[in-house]
Amino acid sequence: MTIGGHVVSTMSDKRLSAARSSLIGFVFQQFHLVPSMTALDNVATGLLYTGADLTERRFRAFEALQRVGLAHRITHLPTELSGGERQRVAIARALVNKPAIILADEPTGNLDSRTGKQIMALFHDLHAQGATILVITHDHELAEGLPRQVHIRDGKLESDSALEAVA
Amino acid sequence: MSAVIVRDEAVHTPDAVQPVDLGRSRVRLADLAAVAASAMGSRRMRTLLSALGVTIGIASMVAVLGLSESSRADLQTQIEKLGTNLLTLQAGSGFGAGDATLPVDVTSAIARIGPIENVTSVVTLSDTVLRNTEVNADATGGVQAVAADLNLLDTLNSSVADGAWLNEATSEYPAVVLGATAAERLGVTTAADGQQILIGGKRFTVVGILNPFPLAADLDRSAIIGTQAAADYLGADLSPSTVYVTTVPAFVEDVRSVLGATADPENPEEVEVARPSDALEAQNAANNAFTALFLGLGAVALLVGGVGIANVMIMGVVERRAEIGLRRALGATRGHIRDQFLIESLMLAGLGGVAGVGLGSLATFAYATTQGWKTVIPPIALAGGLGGALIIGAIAGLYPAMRAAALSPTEALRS
Repeated sequence: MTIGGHVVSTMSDKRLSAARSSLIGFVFQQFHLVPSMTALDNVATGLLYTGADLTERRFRAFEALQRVGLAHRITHLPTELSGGERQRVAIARALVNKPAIILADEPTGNLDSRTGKQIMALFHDLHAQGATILVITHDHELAEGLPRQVHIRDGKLESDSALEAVA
Repeated sequence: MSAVIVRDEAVHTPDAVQPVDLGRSRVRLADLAAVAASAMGSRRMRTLLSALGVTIGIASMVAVLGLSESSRADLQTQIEKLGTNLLTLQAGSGFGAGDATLPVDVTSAIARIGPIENVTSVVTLSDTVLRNTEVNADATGGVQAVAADLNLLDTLNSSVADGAWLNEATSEYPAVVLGATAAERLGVTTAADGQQILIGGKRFTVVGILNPFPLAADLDRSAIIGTQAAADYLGADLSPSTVYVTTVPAFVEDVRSVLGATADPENPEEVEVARPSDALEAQNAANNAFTALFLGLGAVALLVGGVGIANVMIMGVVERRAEIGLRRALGATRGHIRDQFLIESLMLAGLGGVAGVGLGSLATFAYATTQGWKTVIPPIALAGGLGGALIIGAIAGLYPAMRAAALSPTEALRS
């Protein structure tokens, strides 16, 4: 398996970490926001391991929050936000370093269906703006709505809609 | 999901053949410290309790060092105030019958030594001291009668508690001044009402009571009369039994070396020369032994504090697996995670150390003040206290930090 031309299995911890920092954004089912930090600082955490200073981190965090439509919520703590808003903050954190790809693990799993739809709509918007987003889910209905589906069972690739289209 | 990443010619990875530059994960030390501080801040009670162990250890060590230093400094000023320049001469037990005495004119001989400030002699009398005629003649209570020169008080840095010291006139009359212990044992509380006591069966009027002698406890148990009175009323032999000499401070040892020969040129080896301040110096050394013991106890407390910190850190690592996974997912290297936890442990111990140094200093100040000592806290105790706390923090944090660093980013995927 390679990421950006690098063979993952032979990479050192330092280079793997660098890849996570610069190429990949993560979105989790449980959001994993720091409860004592404002939305802005939670997003800025996404840049903590790039070595950028706090001013730059916050500035770029604000831009990312704008992209997910939460510019009006930057000073709120996670507990003051709805589930959907929390997930948007988490997505902004994944976006903030402009990664090549965003991995989202069951991003709607902890949300009600209406909020889940809004999050998926956000993903579509971001995709339209040029972001590559990989959504991992057990929800077939949700997967149906995405442009390309890859089925994996017990770690093995079963089907890939992109390959089938070529064939 | 792996296959996807391989095949997907993502917009943001324009050239899959030429590997993209990954750069490096970097984090500012100040940012790591801020993360550690906020983790401590969000678990305040636990932070305080785990730092408390170190605080107690450091505080007790600083207090022990501070107190021993303060008491030592106090003893030192006491010694200096009393004079380390005081020497005493006594007639040693000779080769003969053991009744060696100093020559009668010993003080004038000694006075001729150059760097002498004061010389005074005391004659121990064999006459018993009694409260009155009613008491048993054996019940002297250990009070002895002595005859002393008029400059005794000046030489020994002592003073009168009540009444007056002997003068030219009273030293020729049956007047007596009591040492502090002697007055107490004889039941004399004041020199004002002309109370009389019996010395060798003769009545002597109490004219003064002295404060304790700092360097001559023998005299505290004495009833002191003038030499002339001793000769006139008691028919005493006036060979001095003890001579007190104060020297110019720089020449103590020089004077000491010639004193025996000067006092008794024929039998210099029969004269015992001593320096009373040596006893206080010895007391000083004895105190140091206790200091070492208590310091050891403080070190044990510090060690227990360190174990407490290690405990809390390990608990923290277990509880914060998801946070650690998230940080790894955000690009933190194992080293960054390890450093973050080490810094947290150092800050915990440092907090305990600062509080301990403060508390220890405060305790030293409080106790020293109640003892009337000047507070002296050796800088080494302050620096050592902080340094010791940090070393303990580093050791206590090492294992938890390694455990935290070993966790993988997938920890964040667990619910």
